Amino acid sequence: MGPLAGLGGVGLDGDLTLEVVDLGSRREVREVSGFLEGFGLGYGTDLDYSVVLRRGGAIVATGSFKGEVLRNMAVSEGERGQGVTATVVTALMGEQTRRGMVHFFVFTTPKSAPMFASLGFGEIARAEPGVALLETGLGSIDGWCRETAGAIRDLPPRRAALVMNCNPFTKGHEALVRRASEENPAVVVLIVSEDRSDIPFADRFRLAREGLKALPNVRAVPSGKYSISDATFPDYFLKSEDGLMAQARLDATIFADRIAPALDISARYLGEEPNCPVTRAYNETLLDVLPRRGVRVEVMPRLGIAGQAISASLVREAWRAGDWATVSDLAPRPTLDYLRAHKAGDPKP
Amino acid sequence: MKSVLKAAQAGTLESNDVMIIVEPGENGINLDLESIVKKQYGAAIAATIADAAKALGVTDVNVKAIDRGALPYAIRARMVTALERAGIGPERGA
Repeated sequence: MGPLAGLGGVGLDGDLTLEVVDLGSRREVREVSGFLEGFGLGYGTDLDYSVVLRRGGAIVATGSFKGEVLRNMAVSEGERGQGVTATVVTALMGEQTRRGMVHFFVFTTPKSAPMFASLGFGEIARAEPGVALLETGLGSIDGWCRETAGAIRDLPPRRAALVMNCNPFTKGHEALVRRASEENPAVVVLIVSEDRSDIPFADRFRLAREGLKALPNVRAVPSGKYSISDATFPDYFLKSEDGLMAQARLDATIFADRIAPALDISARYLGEEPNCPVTRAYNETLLDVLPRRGVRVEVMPRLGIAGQAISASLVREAWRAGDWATVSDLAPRPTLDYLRAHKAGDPKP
Repeated sequence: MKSVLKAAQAGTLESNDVMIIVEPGENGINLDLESIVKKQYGAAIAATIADAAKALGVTDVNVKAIDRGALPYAIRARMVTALERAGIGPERGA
């Protein structure tokens, strides 16, 4: 580990030193893991940047980030106080800004939330027990809600919502949205903004818009940072599988408590998930959390064609295999045309 | 008229300091202020930040200020540093 260079303005008292962790060094990673273990926290494997604060030789605090999200934050019992946390958070946010970021999240425990609130973070939501998400910098959930509410202000209230990746848009997506549009005054389709899919967001979004343009009471909008994003689903945290459930509960709570009221959404529609265990667990969490918070949940079975449930992954398989007959069975025209014009990438793990 | 060229930051979250984050903006000086003394001094802090921007000839910028009780000269200095890091040089002859 090397001492932190270019950390203008952070005055460390006494024998405290701030160091950047070499994430490629097994020894250093093991040492930080050991420190975090004492707090029941894991150490993510795919971090962008990580620091430790030492007193003498011993680690007394650590923090990391992945993209805009601060995580794996811990401070020794004896060092508790805003000063040490402020030092670590300042160092992390400074590096994030150097990398071009200006909006920052922290994924932490409800117990630590007041500490971050005192450092200027605003709480987005918490899901008891275990997780809280806060944010600071330029950008906020209230700002996103205002902007999105403006983009759908012509749609009548008591809207239904769907959150879909559309990687790519299929006839199954179309059928699901169509049913929601028949059963509700209007439908908001939140297309997952996070670019972690084979097909980039801009193209997924355009294909969904084109595929839905025949439905007049439906509007596709970007999901932003508050649904199924790197902030709400940081796929790490607690070492056990509780981590995944905690993230799903957080995502569901943000939707029910923040997004649904701001966008006048009274129902959420889901496609039944026969295969993927993560999506199935997420659906079950939504079914558990949303109705208790006033949002109805409707689960629709998958549309089947030729005895097979339609899914975007089947479309991608056919795309990779150059099986255009199957693609045109499962996907509407704009998607077919797009896939014909683009080479299939390697499957994402 | 100068606009901010890139995102930048100055200051810390320590007590008696302020962290200032700036990014390119379009419609004037837009400040989002978080302060432990916002009720009493929010307007004064906002004026200090806006004056510092104007003194450097900056008319359009988005600013987040997380104030933990900084004095006016510290706020001003942090704002100037943030803008300099964002690519704004001191005004000639100023």
